[in-house]
Amino acid sequence: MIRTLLTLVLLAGLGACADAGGEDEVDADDASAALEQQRTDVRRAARQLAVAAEQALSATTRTSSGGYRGCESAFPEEFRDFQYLAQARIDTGPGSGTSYLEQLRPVLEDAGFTVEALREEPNGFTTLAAARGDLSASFVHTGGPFVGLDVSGPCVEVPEDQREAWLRRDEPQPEFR
Amino acid sequence: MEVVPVSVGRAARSWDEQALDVAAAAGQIGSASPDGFTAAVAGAASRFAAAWERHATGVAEEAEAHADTLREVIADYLATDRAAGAELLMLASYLREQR
Amino acid sequence: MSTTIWLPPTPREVPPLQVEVAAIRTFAADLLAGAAQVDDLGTFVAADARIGDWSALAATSYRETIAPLGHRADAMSLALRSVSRRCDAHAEAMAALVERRTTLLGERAHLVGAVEALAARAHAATDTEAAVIQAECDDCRRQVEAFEHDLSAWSADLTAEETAMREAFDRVLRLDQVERRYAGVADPADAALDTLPGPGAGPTEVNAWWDGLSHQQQQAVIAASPGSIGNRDGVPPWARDQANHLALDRDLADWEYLEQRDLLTSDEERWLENARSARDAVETIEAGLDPVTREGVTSQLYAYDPTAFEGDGAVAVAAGNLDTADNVAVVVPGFGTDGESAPYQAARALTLYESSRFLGATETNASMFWIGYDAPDNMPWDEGWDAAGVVTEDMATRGGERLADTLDGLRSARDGEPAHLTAIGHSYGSTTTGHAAHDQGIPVDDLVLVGSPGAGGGTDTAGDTGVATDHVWAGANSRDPIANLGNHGWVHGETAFGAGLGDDPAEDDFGAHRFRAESTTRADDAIGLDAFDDHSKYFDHDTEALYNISQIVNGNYDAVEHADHVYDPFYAGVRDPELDRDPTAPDTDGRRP
Repeated sequence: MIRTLLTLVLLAGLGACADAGGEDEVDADDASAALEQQRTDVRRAARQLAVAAEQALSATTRTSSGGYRGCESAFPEEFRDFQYLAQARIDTGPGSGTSYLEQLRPVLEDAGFTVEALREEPNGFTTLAAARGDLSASFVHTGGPFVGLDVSGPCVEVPEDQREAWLRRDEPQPEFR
Repeated sequence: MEVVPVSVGRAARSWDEQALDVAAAAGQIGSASPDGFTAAVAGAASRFAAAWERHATGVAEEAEAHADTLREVIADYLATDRAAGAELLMLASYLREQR
Repeated sequence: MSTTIWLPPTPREVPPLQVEVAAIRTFAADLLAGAAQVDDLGTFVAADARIGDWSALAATSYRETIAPLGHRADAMSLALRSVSRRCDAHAEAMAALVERRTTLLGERAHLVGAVEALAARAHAATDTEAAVIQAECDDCRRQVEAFEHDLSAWSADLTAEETAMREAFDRVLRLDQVERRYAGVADPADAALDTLPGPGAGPTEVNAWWDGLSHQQQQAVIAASPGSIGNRDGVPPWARDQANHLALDRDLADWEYLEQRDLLTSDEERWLENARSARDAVETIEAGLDPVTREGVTSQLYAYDPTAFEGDGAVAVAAGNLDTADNVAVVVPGFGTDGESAPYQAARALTLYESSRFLGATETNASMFWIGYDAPDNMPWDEGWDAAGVVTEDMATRGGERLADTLDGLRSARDGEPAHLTAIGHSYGSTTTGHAAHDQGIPVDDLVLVGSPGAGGGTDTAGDTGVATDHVWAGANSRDPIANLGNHGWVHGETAFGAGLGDDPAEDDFGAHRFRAESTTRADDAIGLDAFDDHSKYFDHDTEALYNISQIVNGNYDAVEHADHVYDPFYAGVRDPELDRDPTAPDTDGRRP
């Protein structure tokens, strides 16, 4: 019975906080502007990197995808912040290997990215990661005849009353193929 | 005049629902986008969708007409004063198209 | 140099191919949804519309009048269904042609490079080199000819497929064509549905029925009566997915049609919201790319009933293929969940899918969120005190029955090698999962309880779940106030006065493996309101919890990071050794710079 009361008190307390707006000081316009600008930046960078990688490797972009993704969860069932993530698969043909990734280092550098050393993942993947300002980009080799490309921006907090809308935001797929 | 049971009223309402459902389906078929097909096929797909929107719309209109027919049967029956009490009230409630 | 070298020809360009396979599938789905609706009309005309208790003369006339409409509706449904299936086959064929074209593009690029290189070498060749270069040119010429042959075959196949598709459209364009082809034709679904096991039948019986149908009958049942099988345990996931998508498309078309005309009832408004949430959930999953293959993540709409639980709705969507995946995880959410939560739950299913694929790249995975029971969904400050249900076990007990049926259904519908199956209960969903395990018995390989307010009355230890104790796992963030609600110590008064949710599965007495589940963004302490957010982070990327859950899902037990249990000494209050440990952020998606 004590736990019953404890649960109700906790939930009621949280509810009162939510009703009062909590400590939410996130400006809706600022958040929207930041995320929309991030979408533009990420898509532009992804397109630039995909096209340059295609040229460098005589390759073809086979699949691409992009959209807002929730970063950190908040109680009870929502995301506090979001980022824009663009992803692609660039087919390089049979026989390609991790050596392809080193050929992509100039591609990243020419696009203004600072490139890290090639990273061997515990799962056998190899990643060439880079950053430009607050944008992150990486080419990854998972073992198949292709390289993966990920480009994303930082997580941006949105106001509580807009979390649902950002989660369900309908974004047209980017054209960086 | 022979007795008209309350089930006639329920059927009229069901015809209305069927008419709405099929009309919605007609819209769905008609708005199916042929843009995914190659140029060699897209024209045939578009013509098919437009034709079938008309076919389905025709079916929906027939369903609606059957609902109207049943309501007329109810109205004629109520006009004879043979229906009484609760039955009259129930049947009368079906005279009005709900939506 | 005077020797002539015959260079190979430059291969022809590969023609462009403008096609969107997904859009063709959507076109097919729209037709199939229309077919199902028209089929319903045919069924209505043959049954309820006949008004059996109306015996007047006018009734006879009425029945004669409506009969042709019913027959026409049946024929139209069969015709539409047939064209829809042909569109699906066309989509498959076009996908294969796109694939072949990609291969041809690569081959051509290689050959063009080879021809150019040979031309350059030939230009600078000496007489002694000429013979060698000519041999290479001849070899290259043969490769170009083989390429040209493949390209011609590809073009011919494309033309043949396009012609076949156009003919399928033209064959039943007019109603007189439909009548000629389909009037009086028996629907293969009718005989199949006549033998559908009754509501009390178990998944094994349902699966035997399904397996006994021909492929044509199975397709017909999906098209004619999606509601009969979309939520039926024992029907394979691929078929449920098709049936539920059909039902979803039809519902959206139907209710949005009414919404545009301002004719929606209040119930239908809620159902429409649930339908839209189901659609958004599917789209959320399909927006992801598989971390290993970098192909789009596939989804399966395993359960869909927007009217269930007095309008709260039921929905389950998987990331990955439940029919074939090596490792299958079923996530049971809890507090605050209803049909409208589907998009968020889908995002969680996607992170679990990505993480388990990333950490176990050689195996295949499917992770499904399951909102298949009536969970305490309403926040008290939003919609009243319905959430008070969270402090009793009634909903968990009933939900446990449904969950056990679902897991049995997944097992019995699986052909071939059984999956490594893991049930994951979060929050109140862990109480539900605990009840499923204890009260019903569940056929899982691993049982994971995270953020648990209690494993349910009657489950005092891991052994009480019926799952091998070495395969019972608990994850609890030290700040999570809800994970601290379970009973501790030697008193098991969890069901006193019907309140409380049972024992804390992260406690030493319970006997489950406790894995690390802290977050680097956890609250400073377990007292403030910020700590509630730690109840929701178990499926976020780059958290200890998601990393460890994924390793369990993959059966990679040695990689699981164990944590010391919560304990409750008689001389003091409850102690959690994780409170003072520095959290880590293991990589779960490979996307960290």
